[in-house]
Amino acid sequence: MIAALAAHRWRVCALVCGLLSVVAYLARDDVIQLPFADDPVPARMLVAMVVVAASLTPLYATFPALATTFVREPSVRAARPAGVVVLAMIGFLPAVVGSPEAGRSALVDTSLFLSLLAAGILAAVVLGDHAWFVVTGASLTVLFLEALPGAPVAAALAGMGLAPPAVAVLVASAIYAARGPRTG
Amino acid sequence: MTGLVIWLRRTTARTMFPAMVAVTLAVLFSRSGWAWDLGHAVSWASSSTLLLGPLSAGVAAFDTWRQRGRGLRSVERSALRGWQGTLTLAVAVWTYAALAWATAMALAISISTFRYEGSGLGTWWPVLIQAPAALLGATLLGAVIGSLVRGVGAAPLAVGAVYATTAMADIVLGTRSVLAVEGATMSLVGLRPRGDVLAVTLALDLALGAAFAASVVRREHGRSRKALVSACAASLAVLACATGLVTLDAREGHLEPSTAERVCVLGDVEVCGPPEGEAIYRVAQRSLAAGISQLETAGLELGQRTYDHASAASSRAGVLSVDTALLDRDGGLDAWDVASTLSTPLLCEEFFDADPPVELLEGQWNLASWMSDVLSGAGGVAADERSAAQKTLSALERCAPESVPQWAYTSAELREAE
Amino acid sequence: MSHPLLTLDGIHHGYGARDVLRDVSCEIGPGITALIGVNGAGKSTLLSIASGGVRPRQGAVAVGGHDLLHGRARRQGLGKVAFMPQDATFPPRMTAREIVEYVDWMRGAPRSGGRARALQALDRVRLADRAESRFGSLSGGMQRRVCLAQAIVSAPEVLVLDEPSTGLDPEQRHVMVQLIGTLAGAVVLSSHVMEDVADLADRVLVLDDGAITFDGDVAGLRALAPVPEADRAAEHGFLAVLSAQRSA
Repeated sequence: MIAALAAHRWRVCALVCGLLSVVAYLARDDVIQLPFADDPVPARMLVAMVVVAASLTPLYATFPALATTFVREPSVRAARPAGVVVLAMIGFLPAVVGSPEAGRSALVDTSLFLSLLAAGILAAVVLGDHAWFVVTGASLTVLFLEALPGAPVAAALAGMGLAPPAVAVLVASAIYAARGPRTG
Repeated sequence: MTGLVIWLRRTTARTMFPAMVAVTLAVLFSRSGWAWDLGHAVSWASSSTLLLGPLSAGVAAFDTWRQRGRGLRSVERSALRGWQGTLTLAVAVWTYAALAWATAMALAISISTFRYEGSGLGTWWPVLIQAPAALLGATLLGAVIGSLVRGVGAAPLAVGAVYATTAMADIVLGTRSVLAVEGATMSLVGLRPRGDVLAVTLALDLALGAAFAASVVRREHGRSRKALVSACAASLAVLACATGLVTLDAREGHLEPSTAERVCVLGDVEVCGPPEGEAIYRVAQRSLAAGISQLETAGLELGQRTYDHASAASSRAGVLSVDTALLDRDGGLDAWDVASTLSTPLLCEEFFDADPPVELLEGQWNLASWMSDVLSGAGGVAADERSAAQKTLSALERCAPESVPQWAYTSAELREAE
Repeated sequence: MSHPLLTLDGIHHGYGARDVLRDVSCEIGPGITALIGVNGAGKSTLLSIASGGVRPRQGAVAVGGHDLLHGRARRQGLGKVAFMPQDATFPPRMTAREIVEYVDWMRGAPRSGGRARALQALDRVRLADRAESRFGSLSGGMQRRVCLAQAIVSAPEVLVLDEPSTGLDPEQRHVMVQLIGTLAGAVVLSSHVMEDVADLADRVLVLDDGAITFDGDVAGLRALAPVPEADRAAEHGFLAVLSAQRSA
């Protein structure tokens, strides 16, 4: 079991998400001045991006040539995105739960978190090891656009609510469970 | 050269290039108004380095980890040009990132030149060197991380490292233009880059790139003494440049007023300012003339017919206020910009005092709000309001705070918001 | 030896507190020299040092009279030696020709004619028809042959091959042995396959516990076997060398 956890980097991922959960809780009401933003952004937003990037690592292929020959692979593969979602939640939720600022801002940041997570899981299916590009590229672009007058990203996410990105996470997870990550 | 050609074909950056271009174009067109002056266009187009740098670093880290297997590394260690191995790959990645940046830059310059109808980048040409240098430094940092972290975490770590470096430079050195070029979000008419800060920042980016390059060679090509010496020398250069930036007080800003001879657009209303704003003044002149006509029809007498942009305190002209983003949207000055301009008939010296007279400031605000409503047809028709507006205008024309009437005007927009 | 192509003198090397090579010295001239030993004896380390890829803690390495460790002479020395690693992990997206051309350039060859030289090398290893195939799509045996092609493309005076036939099926091994047999200059190879050593080697060095414990030819190794005329006499002779060393 321990070897199975180590094979897909679960232990490192769990450790990182655990540390991030502490950071998320401590910084839940903070704002951060970013290099290119006129206005500071909630630290929660940055936490969401880092948590998603870190929590996706177990989804990358470890035994690309052998995986299809493993008897347990289909069932374990179905469990993998579930584990990733759980770890990501552990990393991010302390930033929104119990926050006195809970409300529109927390809703927007949670929506962003779920959207990035869905995109990351899907990117692992389509791009394999290149999925990091989608998550980091999307995160950086969101940060940049969020600095625009009217904070268009926040406005769009607030209008969308939590249901669509949550469904997107479920759908992406189902696709991963069925297809697995791209290899090669 | 052969190695570079091969890596240009095989690097992941080649596949990611369309996404990189999409990112730079998204940045470029995320704001409007930059096309009105070439300095703003160049500066804003270069702000895409804030995204391209981290992404380029991530690709370099990914390729260094994934593409350069043990077999190739062990062969390179015993090859004459082997020390160039990772560097060649990094240069290939940088080439694509620089091309993506250049695409946005070429578009920005073309659009701005078409509108600007001028020529030459003037004092802004160093940005064309600064941006590629920043991207190269970021890419080489990615290569270092890819050689140290041999796993899937290399790329995201590299992205974070570049981003963190830029953020730390802002905190410690007072500049955001390390491994990136900070772009202006407002017009740069009348401003130019501080040459000393720009030169030191460029040197810092190059020194960082050299330090990263030497580190990669030492890491990948055995414990080369030359690489160690180079890394140490480059690190000293980094330290010197960082000290330079602190000494130059980069925190006070990287821009300074330009000294170019001013130009004027003549007509019923005269609008003057630094030469790079001429296209703006032509539009402003028409809008101001129309605004004055409309206000005079409404019964206001306006004496000032000359307005200055980015003017000196000693100017006897009115102050032109213009938001180029709104200029794009409306095809002329925004009603508020017209009102704000016409309500500042003189740049009073009192405005530069430590405690400017509140009466003048409040009077100017009330007058601008009233003018804005008249110009947009939203109000300001009452006779007492017009009388108060006239008295306020007269006081502002004489810089006489004691003559500003007791008057509070709330614009229609604010009334609606309440 | 009158004009050795490769000279190793007093080589000491280790990793951390562990000594891997202890005072290894030898001169190698034209012909095929096989380096044999158990796993962990230090063969790969010695070959990496001989090819200039690793600097030993002590000792000197020279190729064609040029010091391979220091200064300007190292550049000249590196131009005369080529290395075929045991681990053939080359960029999977590069084609076979690109890998050979890239390494040829890395070894200091001029850019012009690089493509032709690469194709010629691939032709020698009978992979001309797969020159434009991506490395990742080639079979294990083909990948080893690409690995050999990148080593011979620059026509080096000294060729260092680390377990060239590892992981190959009998037919692929036969092809590899034939190819190695045609190489000129000084060839130093390590191998676990005693039949290949017996077929190829003009000289055999046995490396055990960081030191050379046998330096002779295949016949001399066979003579140490209990039954020198038997089929696997070379292997038995090798085991006898190890046994003698351990009981000493």
